[in-house]
Amino acid sequence: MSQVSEQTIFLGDGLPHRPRIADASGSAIIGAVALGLFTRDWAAALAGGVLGAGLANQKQPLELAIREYFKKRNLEVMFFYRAPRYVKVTFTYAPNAFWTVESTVPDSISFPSDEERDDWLYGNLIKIELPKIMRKIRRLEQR
Amino acid sequence: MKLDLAIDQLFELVNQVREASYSDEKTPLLNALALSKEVISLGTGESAFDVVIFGDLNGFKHLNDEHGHDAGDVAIGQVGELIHREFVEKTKIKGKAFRVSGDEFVILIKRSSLASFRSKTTSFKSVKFRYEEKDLETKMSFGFVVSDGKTDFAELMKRAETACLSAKNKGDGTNVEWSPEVERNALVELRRKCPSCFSVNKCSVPKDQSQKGLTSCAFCGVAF
Repeated sequence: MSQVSEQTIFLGDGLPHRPRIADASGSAIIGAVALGLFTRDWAAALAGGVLGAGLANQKQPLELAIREYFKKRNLEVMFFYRAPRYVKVTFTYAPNAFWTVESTVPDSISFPSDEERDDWLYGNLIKIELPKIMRKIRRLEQR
Repeated sequence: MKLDLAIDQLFELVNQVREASYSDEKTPLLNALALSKEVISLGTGESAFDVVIFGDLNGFKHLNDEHGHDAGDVAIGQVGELIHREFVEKTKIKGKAFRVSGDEFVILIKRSSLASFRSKTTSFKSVKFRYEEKDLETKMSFGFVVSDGKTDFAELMKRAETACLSAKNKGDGTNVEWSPEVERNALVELRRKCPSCFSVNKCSVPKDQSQKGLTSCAFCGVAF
């Protein structure tokens, strides 16, 4: 039995998966339900206080996963937009300073399921696109 | 024990859903739905507010066109934050502020807070922020009307909007109170979509000259 957590299991192209619901904070889950980020079945189970092992092991919805990732890095998500193969996040990294980061699935990639597509969008955003922007921000701050 | 937990969570959820339905998605302000709820209490005399303020961003279209809609959204967010700080919380004004559409905001305050409101609008002369590698700014002007207790809310909104157009003409960060004289000299906003390049042309002209405005497209020069 592997002890490696979901977050460190990588997709074929080296991108991390979305974390499990059990890894999100309680307040983040409640907030996510209020924002309609969960499906109806999940929301009903969460509202009933019966977060069973099956649900806890499911992956976080894309928006919740991204918001949680940014929050842990002290970046505040201002706006979030997604399309089936695209996600865009405008965030603030310093007082009155903003940047927009995007993740787009190239037409050449197809996925067996929407879950895997969302994993790719998440992984590409946090592993490839956001670090590029953070490097730019650091360069700008050093000027 | 389990039931208590479920009920607590359910109440927390209901509260959050209710809050979310009245919250604006781009600012810390309330939304148009919340305003319509407030208008009902204004109509029944239950509301403590008797001043209606209307404000919109100056040069918002230019900002959107020049720097993209994401920068425009940030401008709306920044102005919303400032409205919240100056007129809603951490202030004696304790008003209620709403984003009603695009770059249009409505603020309700009490007559006793009017002087305080008027002194604070200069903060909106230039709201600076950094978007990606660019230093940008946005500006705003306000028009307001004091309720006489007889005029309905729709008419008060129209008057505040008219006063706002006069304030825009006066300059960024200004405020103008509606009066019959302001109404007489009112500007009207003309909009016309160019049939050739599809750009939306916008300008403010005096009411009596509204037939003369926008004779050609400012973007491609085609005559209307």
